[in-house]
Amino acid sequence: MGAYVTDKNNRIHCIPQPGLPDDCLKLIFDKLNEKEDRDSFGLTCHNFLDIQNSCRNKHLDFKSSYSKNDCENHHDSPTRCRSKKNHDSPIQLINRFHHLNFSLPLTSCDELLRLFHRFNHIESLSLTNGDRLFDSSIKKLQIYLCRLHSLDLSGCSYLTDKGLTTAASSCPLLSVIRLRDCNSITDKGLKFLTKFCKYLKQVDLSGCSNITDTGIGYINQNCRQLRALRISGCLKILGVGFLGFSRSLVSLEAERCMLDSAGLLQYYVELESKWNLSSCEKIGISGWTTIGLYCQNLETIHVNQEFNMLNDKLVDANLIALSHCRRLSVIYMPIWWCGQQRSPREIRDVMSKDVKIIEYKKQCPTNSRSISIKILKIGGRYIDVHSDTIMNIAKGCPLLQEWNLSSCEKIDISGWKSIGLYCQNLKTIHVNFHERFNMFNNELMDARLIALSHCRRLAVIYMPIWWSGRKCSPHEIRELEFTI
Amino acid sequence: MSTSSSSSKKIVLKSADNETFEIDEIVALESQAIKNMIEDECADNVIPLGNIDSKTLSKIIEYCKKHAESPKKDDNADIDEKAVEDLKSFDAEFAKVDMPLIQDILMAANFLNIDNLIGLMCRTIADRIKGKTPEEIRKILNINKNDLLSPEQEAKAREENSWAFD
Repeated sequence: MGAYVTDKNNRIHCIPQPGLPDDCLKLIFDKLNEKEDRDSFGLTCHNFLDIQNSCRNKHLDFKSSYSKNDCENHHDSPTRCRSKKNHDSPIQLINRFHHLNFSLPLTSCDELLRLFHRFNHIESLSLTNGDRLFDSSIKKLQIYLCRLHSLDLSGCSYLTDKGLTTAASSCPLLSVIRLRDCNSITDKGLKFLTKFCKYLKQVDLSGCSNITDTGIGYINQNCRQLRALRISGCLKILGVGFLGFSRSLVSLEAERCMLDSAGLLQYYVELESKWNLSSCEKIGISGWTTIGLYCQNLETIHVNQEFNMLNDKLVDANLIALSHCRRLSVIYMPIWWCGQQRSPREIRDVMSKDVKIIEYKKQCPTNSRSISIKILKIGGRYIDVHSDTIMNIAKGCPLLQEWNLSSCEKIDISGWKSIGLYCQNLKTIHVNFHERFNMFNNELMDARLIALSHCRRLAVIYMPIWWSGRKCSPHEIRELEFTI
Repeated sequence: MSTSSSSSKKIVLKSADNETFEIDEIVALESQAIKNMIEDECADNVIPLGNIDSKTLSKIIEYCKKHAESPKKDDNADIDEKAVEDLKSFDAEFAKVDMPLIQDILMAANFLNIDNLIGLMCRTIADRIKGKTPEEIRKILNINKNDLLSPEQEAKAREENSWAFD
């Protein structure tokens, strides 16, 4: 074996085998599924070790045991929350890309350095909740950050503007940065971050309590490609900084913010598609009207509010104001808003206004009794929902396609039947319950399932694993497709 | 268009040890590299392949012939199961050769850019080193002795590996 060369005199020489090219070796490595095989491969020689390292270290994720942030992160799907990690292993290092999971007690920056030496092609790094991460640590890590596209420093409470600036100056390609609950970061840090990292597309500043409108102004000034911004819980942001904000922004999450009408009036971005304004108590009717007037492309809005219980009329007025957004199709709203103490007629009247506009646009035959809400999420905090409410919503929203009813324990069989009866467009339903409550109640569950089976288009049911099986008759199950 | 008008057109490949192989153009087109050469009209009738010996080249031609004959997936969606099975068993049989030849074929396929064949050879090699120790892998792949890890380096790498678990 070997390669051949022909010299001037047409004689053939065999030259020593140079070994397989790296791209072939990478392909071979990719086909090794077992960790033992991958490790053995890497231990074979220097070249193979390099191959192993370059294949697996695209994404690094250092996580502390505490995962509250994770849960908040996935608030759209409570079931996907990562369970709390065991406190015995203080820091977890997770390689998400290849689903490798490293665990080591990370006591010092030096250990991090040692790891980086081995994992030097990192594009995505997560160092969340690092109570040992200081500005000096960032300085030491600096040289390894140059390829980063995504950096997560959430919960690093000792990180200051200085550290952030150091990090930013070393990763010019950064497009995603998460600084959730980095309380020491101020507007000054944001100024340098945005100057160095001009290509930021996603910025998460949730809970950074020292950021003000000035900081938002810097983002606006320097990062004109920004697509998503989270400022939930940034109490010092009033909204003025959004004046003339880049039109590339399509998603803004501003839960529990102090945004007021005056601030919102500054911010009439037309290209919005998703807006989370839950618990923004200060937005008055003028604010909602502004949104209705200017955000014509808004598709999704979150308007969960907890403290307006007694003010239904105001809410209705808000809803009417919003109904000017022609493309609005998903509204996350509190359950008390669409039901409970009101007759279904009232809801329908409020909603039908919305529908007329949408249907006018699509030039469909107008049906003033239909409501355009297509996705509805009830669950989490609003577990007290009763069958009456469900019935009201079911009757009122015949176009509903996806409904999340997880943890709504109090709905009885009449509620489920009303869903089966009225929601003929329902395609997806979430009915995850806590196991401990219904463990011994399979028959009730079956009855619910049968009630739901009247929804002809229902194709996906999210349900607890203990439900799918045991005493259900196979006939009923076969009518539906299960996704757990 | 060159394929339709010249199904009988012949291409001659010349190996490193000056042996010539005359094959149908359609067989040669299995190689992306040769296809590009023909399309760009920078290929003579004889294509010299100075880094592939005749033994390897004849194996590759055998492979390309078989794969050129069998219907392609995108030609019609419902190709019969039998042809697929037939091709699979051919591939399995084809890969039953010794490791040096496999490596030669892989390198040649990589040079000629024959995707299916690269995949098949990589899979074969991966299958053969599965469950083996580093020492055995070195033997199987005939790794250059100058490139081995020192005992200290190996111990360090092993320690780092022990942090990682799937």
